[in-house]
Amino acid sequence: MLNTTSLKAAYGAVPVLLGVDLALGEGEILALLGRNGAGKTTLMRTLIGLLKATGGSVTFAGADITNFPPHDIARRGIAYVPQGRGIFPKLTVAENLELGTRSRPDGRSDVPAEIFDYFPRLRERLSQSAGTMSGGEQQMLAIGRALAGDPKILLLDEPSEGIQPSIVHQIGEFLKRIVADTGISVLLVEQNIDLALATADRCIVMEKGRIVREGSVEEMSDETVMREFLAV
Amino acid sequence: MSAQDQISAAARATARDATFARPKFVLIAAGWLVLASLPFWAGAYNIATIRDVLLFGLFALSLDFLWGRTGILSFGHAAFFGLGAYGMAIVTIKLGLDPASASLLGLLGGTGLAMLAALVVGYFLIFSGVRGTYLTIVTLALTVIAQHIAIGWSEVTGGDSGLIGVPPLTFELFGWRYALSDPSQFYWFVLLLASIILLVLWRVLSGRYGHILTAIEDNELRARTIGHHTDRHLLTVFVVSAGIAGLAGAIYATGTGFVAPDMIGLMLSTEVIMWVAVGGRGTLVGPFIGAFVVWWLQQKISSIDTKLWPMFIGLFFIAMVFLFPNGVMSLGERGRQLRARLWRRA
Repeated sequence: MLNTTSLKAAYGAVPVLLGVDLALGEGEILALLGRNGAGKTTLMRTLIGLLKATGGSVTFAGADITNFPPHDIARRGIAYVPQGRGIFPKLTVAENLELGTRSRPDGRSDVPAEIFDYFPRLRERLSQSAGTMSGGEQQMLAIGRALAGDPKILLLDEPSEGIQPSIVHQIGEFLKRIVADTGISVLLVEQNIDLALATADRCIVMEKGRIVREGSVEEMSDETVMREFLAV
Repeated sequence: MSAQDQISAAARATARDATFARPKFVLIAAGWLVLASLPFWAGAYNIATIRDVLLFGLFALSLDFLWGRTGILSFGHAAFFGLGAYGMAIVTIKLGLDPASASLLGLLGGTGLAMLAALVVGYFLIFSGVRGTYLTIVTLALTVIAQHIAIGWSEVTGGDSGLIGVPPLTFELFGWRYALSDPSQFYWFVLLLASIILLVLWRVLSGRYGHILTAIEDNELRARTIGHHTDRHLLTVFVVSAGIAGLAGAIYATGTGFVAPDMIGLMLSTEVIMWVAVGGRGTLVGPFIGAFVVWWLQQKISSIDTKLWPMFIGLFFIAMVFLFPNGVMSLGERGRQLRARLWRRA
């Protein structure tokens, strides 16, 4: 579905991605793990086009989308939920969802009802200002808004950050259900190893701008592997 | 989140949606009726003055559409107002056309010139990612350049003294020619035009397009990553805003009968920001009220001593920012807040 070949990116003169090769399959939840500063968020930003790649390529569904503008990538079916939610706090829940429909391939602008099946809480709060909701609700809204665009791929950057543990668990369950129902692929960046391992089909580990390890959830659950790559 | 939090949060959301909620709407409607009946009870001088205030209000509305809704502050909006005014003056005075076609061409030329300038400048700035303070500084430069051209290119613009003899707006419909030389009719024309533009902008902005612009102001990158071509939206708003400013300028020139460099310069650019800030950024009606309030204060204070005005307006502006950061449109709400704060201290 989504592939990168020796993808490189930099902030100014500082190289951050030193050549990332990644393959995300159809209907797969791939967890991207790694310590702070490994380049996980940078990779996400490069995939969605917010940061220009300085080398390598990104292909999506067979088409080269390297350095396409973000709105174009979004309309092709890649939805991005940034770290720290990324909702529009001044708008209501309904308005937030409505704006997410811009990238729908069928051009419709009504919010698909399935979103409320996944997140019933959002239906109750339609006219509420998004900024006044709790962290967990905002995260649900951010994911709901991404789904409103009917994407083929969901890029999730640390959905568990700053959210109470019970909701973290729920988010993992939501993701599995969404993938089972719709067949979309998910690239999940997580610091919360438990959430990542409970949700993902496969894991990759990033270190200093490269992918240094790849494996099944079982392999990654191994204590020594975790300590080697993830211990802070 | 406690139940009380939820209630107050819901109230905040409704308050925001109800910008045109009943008491405010009644006030605005009453104000409009007073304005509409003005020619029946006011003298010709006052009619002409209020007409100019309305045009300044329309000009301020154009800035509010840009600044209030996208967060982009243009410090050079007088350049667009002035291009409209100079466009009108040059077409009607220099080209020697018959009055009806000169008026129409002047309106189109003035407005078009403003929009073209905004399109060219805006395209290079917005599409290359210039935002925030940098964008503001470039617009500031734009108004300074425009004023220098207005002063320096005297064969066309009349230099320092400007151009005198802009004829009244003249229309020709199905062979029936009509000149808006009667002050009352010209006034009503301006009131109607300003009202229509205000209503159209309000309609558009309370719908989906308004939400897109709010989202862009909130966080442009987020809006972009959910599929919105934010550069194009911002450029559209910039050009439309310049067009409205140009239109206000072109009509203003036909009212005063002349154009001068102060209609395109930095001073006017600053004043229009003040009208919007005083009236309430993002409120659309506020800019008209702001223009009126500032004009009214200027009349009162200058009649005591003309030297007082510049000092007063500076202090007034600082006081406004401190006491009523959301402008006079939020006076009631803000008054309650301030009173509550005093109570708590007492």
